[in-house]
Amino acid sequence: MKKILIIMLFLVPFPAMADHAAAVAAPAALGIVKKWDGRDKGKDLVSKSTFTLINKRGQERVRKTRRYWIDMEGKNGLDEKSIIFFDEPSDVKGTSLLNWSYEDAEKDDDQWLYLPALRKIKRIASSDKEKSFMGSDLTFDDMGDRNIMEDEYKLLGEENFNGHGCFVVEMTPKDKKYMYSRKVKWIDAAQFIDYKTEFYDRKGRFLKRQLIEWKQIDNVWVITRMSVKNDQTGHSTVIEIGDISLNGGVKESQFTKRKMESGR
Amino acid sequence: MNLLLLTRQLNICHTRRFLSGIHANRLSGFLPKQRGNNNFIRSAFKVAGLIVLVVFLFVPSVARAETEIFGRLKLEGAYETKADKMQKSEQSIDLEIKSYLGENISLKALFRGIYETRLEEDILSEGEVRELYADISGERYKLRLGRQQVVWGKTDGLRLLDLVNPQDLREFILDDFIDSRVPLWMARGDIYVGDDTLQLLLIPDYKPNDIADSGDRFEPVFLQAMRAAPIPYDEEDEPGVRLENSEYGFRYNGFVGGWDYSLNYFNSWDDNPLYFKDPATGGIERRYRRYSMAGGSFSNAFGSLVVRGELAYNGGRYFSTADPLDSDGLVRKDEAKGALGLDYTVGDWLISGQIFESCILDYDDEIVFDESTTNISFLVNVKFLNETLDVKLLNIYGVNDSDGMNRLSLTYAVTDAWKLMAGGTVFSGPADSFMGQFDDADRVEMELTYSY
Repeated sequence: MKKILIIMLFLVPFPAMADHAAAVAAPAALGIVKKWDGRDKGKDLVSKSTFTLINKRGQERVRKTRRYWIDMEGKNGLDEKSIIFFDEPSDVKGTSLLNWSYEDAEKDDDQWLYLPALRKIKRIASSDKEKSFMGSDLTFDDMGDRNIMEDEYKLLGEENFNGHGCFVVEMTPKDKKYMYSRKVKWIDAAQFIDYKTEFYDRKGRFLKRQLIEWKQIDNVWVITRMSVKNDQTGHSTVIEIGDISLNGGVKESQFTKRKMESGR
Repeated sequence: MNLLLLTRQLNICHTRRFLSGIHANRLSGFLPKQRGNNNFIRSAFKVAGLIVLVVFLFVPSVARAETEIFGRLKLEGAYETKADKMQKSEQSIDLEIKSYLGENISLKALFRGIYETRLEEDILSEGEVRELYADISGERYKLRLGRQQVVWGKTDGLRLLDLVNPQDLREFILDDFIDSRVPLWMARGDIYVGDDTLQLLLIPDYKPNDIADSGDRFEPVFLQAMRAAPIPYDEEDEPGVRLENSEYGFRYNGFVGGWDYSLNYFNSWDDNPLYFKDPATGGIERRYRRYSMAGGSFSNAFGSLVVRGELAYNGGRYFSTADPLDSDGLVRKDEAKGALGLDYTVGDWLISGQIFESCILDYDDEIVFDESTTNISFLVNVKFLNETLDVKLLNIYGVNDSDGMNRLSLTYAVTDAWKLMAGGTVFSGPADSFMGQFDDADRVEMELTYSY
């Protein structure tokens, strides 16, 4: 805790320096974001997710997935690998998505999609992070694929969120054609996990709000629930994440194309 | 009709070939089939399948295996606009069972029942074992034995490397690949070399492409001509199920420097039987011949663009010739094929284009096919309303004959289980071209699918 407080002293601008807020806020905010992005995520993770997609009339659709993830720790230039198997609904059962991401931020992820109806693994473009993830209100970028160096940051202040002291950080894309004009994120000042994000569209209008719930397993914070409500379409998504196994020793061979075909 | 003209007719589809030729046919109703000992061996396959089925039904409960059961019910209808009548009415049900007997052994079965009206008086009910196989796997290998489908290549819709399974073309090329691919009994072995995979195939079960029966809506023009021609006709037995008649091949799949690649080899019977002139009778004789294919494929992603392609070299294929000095009407040549595809993705939009080129090597002017054939396909696929509405526009264009096929489909996911598709298909081109021969078969389509 002492350590965190010391870090905070360096990260949060002093009131006396308010006149220099613009100069100080950017690096401080970036420091917060780096700690949020670089927090301990474990060595590997297995989980099951239930996506409930709700349209504005209240009609629900349900998607169920299994996800395997491993930290590659820079082996062969790789940052991490993940594989997602789609279990429900039955017409997409057996579909899988394999992703290899690299430490080099300039290098696009390698991504493959297995479609059981075609019995074929297809190479797909991973750079298009604006694509909706499984028809949900989240894009691939929102799911955590965005590199932090693609945004500029500003610390808007500190706020209490559900009893947690949080930094409120504004994220503005360097690429002005990006799908969001800005995002505002509430990041826990002690644990560096985010509870809430607000998204604004290209024209600066409020678009959607994301809320996240966490739990700690073996000193690692993992997400257990995520909800997103799109104010412009009235559509919302709830993701429940369960059966979480952390650092269980997932083998690297799990993240191969042959596993995509096997469905397990 | 003289023999030369008929020979040309026979090769119409070969000339315009997308699907490695379409002029194979069982010629139902033309001559009785003579299959020799194939029936016995295929019966043996069926008995083996029955044993696997029994294992499916009883072993899981004994071994407490993990079993998954799912499937779909599909109602399809197509209305032919020019003839002002129903062109297709089909109801089918799929039942898929997967059973995992521990970590290293699994079983899969896919059964299909179909009730179909092809012509007003032609009602067809059939049950089919689409897939039935056992997987035995280890850390460095997987062995798959049984009736199965194997898909090679990187192209969509048109097949260069994807030659392992024949195709059901009774509905021309309108059926989905998952429904039109004809499964075969075979042994498939996958050997893992790091992240790469070497796949070996041994296929004792030969079947030709399945073409529309006499009088069916998508009966090819050349077959109509042949069935009507008053000339002697004879057909050789299909290759028997014997080890020496087996098809075999391999594929090596790798990944280097961001590129997915494969090296392929396949030695097989031509899925399209060949029609030889018989100088003794002046008639035609249907025979089966082998050829070998060597090739490869590649794909990579560059930003929002995916580049993919295939190359294939077919050694020893037969082509019809108009040379009057040629006694059997066929010459043996090699051919080279290539395909390049680009997929561009922006948000929920996919724009895809493909070009296919095939070329007969050491070309002889008397060959009744074009020396080179070019085909192009273009696809736009957009998803709306959180992926509940899927819109597809597909165009296939034959450069040689300016023939084409355009398909539009709108699929709406009413619920997770129910999907409704509405669309239409329009053919164009000269009457003797690959797609233009069905210029009068334009249709609107509806499809209702329930997945369970």
